[in-house]
Amino acid sequence: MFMKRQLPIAIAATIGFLTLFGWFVDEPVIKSFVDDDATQWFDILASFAMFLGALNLLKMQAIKIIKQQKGWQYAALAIVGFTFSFTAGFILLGSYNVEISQYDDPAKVATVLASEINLDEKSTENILIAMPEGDTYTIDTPYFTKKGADNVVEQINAAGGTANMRATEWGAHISTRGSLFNWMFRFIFTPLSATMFALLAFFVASASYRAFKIRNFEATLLLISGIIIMLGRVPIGGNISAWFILYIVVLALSAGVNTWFKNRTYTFAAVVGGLLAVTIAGFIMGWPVDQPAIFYLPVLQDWIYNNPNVAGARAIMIGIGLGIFATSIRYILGIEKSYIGE
Amino acid sequence: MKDKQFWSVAGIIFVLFMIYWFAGHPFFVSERGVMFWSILVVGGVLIYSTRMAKRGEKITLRSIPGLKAVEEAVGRSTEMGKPVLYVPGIMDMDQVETVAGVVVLGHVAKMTARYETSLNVPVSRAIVMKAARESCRESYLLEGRPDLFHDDMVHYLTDDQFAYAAGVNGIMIREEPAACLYMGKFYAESLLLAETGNSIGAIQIAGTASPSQIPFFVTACDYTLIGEEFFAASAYLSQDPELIGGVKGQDYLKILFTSVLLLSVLLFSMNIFEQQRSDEWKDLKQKTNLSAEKSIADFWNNADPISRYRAVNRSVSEPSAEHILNKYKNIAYSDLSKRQKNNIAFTTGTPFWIQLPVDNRMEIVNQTFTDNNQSGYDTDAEFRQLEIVKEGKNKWNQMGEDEREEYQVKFPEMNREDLYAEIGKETIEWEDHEVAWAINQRSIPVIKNILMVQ
Repeated sequence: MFMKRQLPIAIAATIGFLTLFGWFVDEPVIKSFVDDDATQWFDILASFAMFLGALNLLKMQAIKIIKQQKGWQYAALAIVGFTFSFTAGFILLGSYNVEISQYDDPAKVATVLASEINLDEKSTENILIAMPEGDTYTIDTPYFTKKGADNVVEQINAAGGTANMRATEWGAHISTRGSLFNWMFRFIFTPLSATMFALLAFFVASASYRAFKIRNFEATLLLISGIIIMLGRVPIGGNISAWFILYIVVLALSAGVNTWFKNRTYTFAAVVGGLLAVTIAGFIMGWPVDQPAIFYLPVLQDWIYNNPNVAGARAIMIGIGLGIFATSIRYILGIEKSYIGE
Repeated sequence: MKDKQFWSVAGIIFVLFMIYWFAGHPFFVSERGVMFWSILVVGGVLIYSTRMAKRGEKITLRSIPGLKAVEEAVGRSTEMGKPVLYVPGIMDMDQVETVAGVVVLGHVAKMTARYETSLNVPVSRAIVMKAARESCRESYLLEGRPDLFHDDMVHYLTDDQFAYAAGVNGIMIREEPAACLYMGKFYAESLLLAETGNSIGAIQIAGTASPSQIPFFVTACDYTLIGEEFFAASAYLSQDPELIGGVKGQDYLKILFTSVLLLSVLLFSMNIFEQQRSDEWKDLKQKTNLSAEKSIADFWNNADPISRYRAVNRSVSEPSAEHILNKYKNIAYSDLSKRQKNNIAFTTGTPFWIQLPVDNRMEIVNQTFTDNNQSGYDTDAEFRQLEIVKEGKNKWNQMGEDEREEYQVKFPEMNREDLYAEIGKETIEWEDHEVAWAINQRSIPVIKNILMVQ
């Protein structure tokens, strides 16, 4: 019981207090614990936990295949992908470089090189001749197999040059262009991730459609603000005059009058009166496209974005901040024990 | 701990701390004092509320529809004979939202155990997998249904954000859970998950403290726990008085913070702070405003009508050149309104005092006092040299023997004072020292410290 209940709470409380109050203490040992050690411990733990995760993934997918559950083909693909990544990362280096350090006859070596780097012989020869003394020339694209690289080395040596094969270091091969892992990352993983991300565009459209459907007062408000922000932030929004928006406001108010009074005469009066009032006021006061500014979309969107929006966001942020602090304090003091199952 | 014991221990700790504080609080980072005292106040209020709740004070927790719906969602899954899908976010256990997500998972697991409904928890971090698994195991045990629990109900997918989203979406499409719960920290995958859940007709409840993801969840889910509601979920679901007390404490704090906000606005509006009432401050304000007025007037008198229009209106588009010419050609500077002048000030880059951010005001104040040389030092250079030596000495004291030797070899014939200066030059970061310089001159940056809460 002690090991399962009191000990975890005691550890959480001690480390929690140390990390919280260590931030206020100017003492190198505590500082380095708070700034570096504590986070590094977490990273180390997380790295070891990766094994558990990977094993769990393999187990789950294997069970799916064995039991031929729905979608077991995807599970097979997951296992193939896992094995391939594992092989490319830990077993198959796939990145061998060929370096030329000396040559007697540049033309002969260039003949061999030209076929390897997609350049004509003369250009290759010029590259070799221009190479500073003591420098080495490395063929741009690494070779996937050791044998392939050795083969080129042999050819260059036979042509009177001195070439060596140098394997890319383990670890560095992940980011070395041309290695199997890097190839997999660039041509399989990145496009797949981008595809998932790109799906967001369609989901945003469908979600906006649902959000903007007029169901109640809040949804209407959202729709109107959304339209104003969208139009106000694109160039065409700047070309829509404040007059035009005022006309729309008049029509919207007239719709309200109609709903309220349900009388054609009143509605007609509201529409005609409002439109005339706006037109006359505009001519008398000489309103340009952006006057009155309160109805000019770029100004209006700016106001919505910087005032009601920021006020709401800050209110949420204060709540979140307090919530995070209260939750942390509850853990540190051992009030919240749900994480150990109580 | 009983109340009496608790308050006695707390009192003793407080008294000891006050002795330490008044003894000069060695090793304490003074610049973080405001933050420290805020933490003590906030922590104190939370502890007080928790203890009051423990003593039996009656606390009413307002109804949170999203949390009420959790049981409804599990019930719906039971009726339909479909699983419940629980997603605890994509971050690790070092994020408090993930921890809160795992805690809520424990409560959900109790419900699924009670209703004998299957639970599926795909996770994106191995540590979260272990924690979530333990939480579920305990919940099934507490409900007396350990037979229904199996390790694989909590399973790992991948660490990668979009690969995880793809994996969870796949599960949704294949298994068609009747309820999808998203509780934790989310980024761009939030909408991918919620929209897919929506497309399969699942009842969806989300809870997150990621402000940028809240709108997506609100749009696509049936219920959303926004920010603090999410952190109150554990208290709400467990109905544990201690936890509910914490929620009440949060409300007290909200009242406190709102009052402080309102009071600050009031005090600043009334120019009540010492530095705002001082003659130097007023002089600076006047000088800045006069200089702004002058450059705006110069601009206005020399600018063509189109530049005038652009400076006054700051709009994206403009009417015809003819219209602008007619309207703006003959307007005198004195006819401009305050708003128009403010706009021009922004355009010309010579703002009025009111338009200056706090930092810039402080900069002007500090610069003026530096120029006026009102400090105890003869020159700014002298102050800087002393600060460099002070910094160097601090570093020297923190160094190990090896490092000290390195410096002694590097500068063999220097006396200690010069050596400190050399070390100080290498390591000094001026920001803190400039604040020290300004504090030495006047107390204004202390206000800045409070405002910025460093």
